[in-house]
Amino acid sequence: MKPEEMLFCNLMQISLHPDRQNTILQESPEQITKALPQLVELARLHNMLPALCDVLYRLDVPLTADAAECFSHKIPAICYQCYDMLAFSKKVIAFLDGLSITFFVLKGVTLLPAYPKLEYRQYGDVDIFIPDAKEYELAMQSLLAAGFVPRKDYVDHHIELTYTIENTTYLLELHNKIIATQSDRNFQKQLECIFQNVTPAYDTFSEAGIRYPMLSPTTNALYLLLHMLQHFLSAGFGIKLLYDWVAYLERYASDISFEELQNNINRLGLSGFCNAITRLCLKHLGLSLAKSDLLLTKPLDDTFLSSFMDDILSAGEFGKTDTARLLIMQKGGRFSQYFHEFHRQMKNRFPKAHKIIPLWPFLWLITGFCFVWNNHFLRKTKTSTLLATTKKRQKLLQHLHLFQTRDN
Amino acid sequence: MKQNPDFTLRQIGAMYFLVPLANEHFRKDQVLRTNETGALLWQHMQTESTKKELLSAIQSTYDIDDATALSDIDSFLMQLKNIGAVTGVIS
Repeated sequence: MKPEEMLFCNLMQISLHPDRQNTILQESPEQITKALPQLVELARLHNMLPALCDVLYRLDVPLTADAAECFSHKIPAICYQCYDMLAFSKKVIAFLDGLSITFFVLKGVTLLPAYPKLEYRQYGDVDIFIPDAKEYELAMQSLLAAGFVPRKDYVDHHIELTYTIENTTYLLELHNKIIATQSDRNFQKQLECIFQNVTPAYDTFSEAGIRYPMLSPTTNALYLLLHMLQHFLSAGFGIKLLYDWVAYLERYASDISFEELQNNINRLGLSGFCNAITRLCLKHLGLSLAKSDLLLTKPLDDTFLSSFMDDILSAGEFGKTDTARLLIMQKGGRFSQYFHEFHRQMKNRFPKAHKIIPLWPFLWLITGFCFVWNNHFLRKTKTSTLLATTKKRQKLLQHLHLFQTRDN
Repeated sequence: MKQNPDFTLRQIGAMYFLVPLANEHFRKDQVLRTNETGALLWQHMQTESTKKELLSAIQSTYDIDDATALSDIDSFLMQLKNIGAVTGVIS
């Protein structure tokens, strides 16, 4: 890690644990000022500007003119968006409550009670999970009738709906699966088993008077890990999701059944991933050992942890900063495995058509065309560059032993 | 004059925002961005406050003359009234 990255992580640690600022920070306010351009850029990439602004203010760090201007313009806009999303969340929850269906709010408002301040956690959409197929359909039809409009982008595990109020368009993601389908069959089977009979727990974000149904604290912790996994296997994820993990465990550790959580993590073959994430959070974001030691397994090589953290820091939020990032192969980097993954993507893209085997050549062609098109026009990168980066990230997988359980 | 309980004072760095967090629908024109002085005045309005009490609160923290302080208070109270953050009349 670069010195400014370490400093950034220390400052994020202070935002989570203000009482530790004297023990964590070695730098004087003037030394921090010198690193401001890099710190502000990191905070911007990882969507952590309000947390950085607040910590710098508390530490009495003199701001450069550029940093002051950045904060002056960006912080109010971020805050307004947070308040706006709160109101939209409230609206969606009230609407779905009226349908008398079982639904769960994912991320978003459910994480705010854990955060030091609600403004630290930006989110651009509301995520709702409806496990029952009939209730999902009822919700969908009711939302469409109420003026929500489906987006045409293809996503495996949710449908995106937009809703416009007075020139502002909001995004609702209606999930029929907890995360995108993964290639490991045992993982999928276990995942479906764990989430098929979930019942809502209720929590309240009292500052905004919102009461909402969510996954139980134990299952919600599992969901946060799955969410990180999903993004890691795609283009990656940034500091924000590690911050979520720390904030959530610090706040809800006493409500979590770590035995049940660890059991589910083991069933899914994610103990290596959980161990790595938790160790990174212990080391770089000050996660309390007392609230996370039951999630730890074997110690990990410092070189690997360093590479993993570099991957997270370079990704920004959801891997958006580096356009040459792609999903990584879950089972190695041979051509056959690349093709296996390509075939899986085709099946996800064409959930009905792929069942007609004679259509496969055409569906592969379309999938391949979309892949190259997206690389060129959306990601603005060469396919060869993208594949080279994928190979580099592939090496991280070897240490994580993903989807490996005692049985396989 | 006192605070409307629907409004909450939020702070990020040296920026303060008065926000009706509990409202069903968010409107940017219902949010007041203010500074430390505004935050101080707001905090003194948790119970019914007179202008004299607000003047005293400002002058106990800042070295400021009566006329300037009263002008700032009037301006701030007007902004609060415009967004519905206060109820009653100031005496």
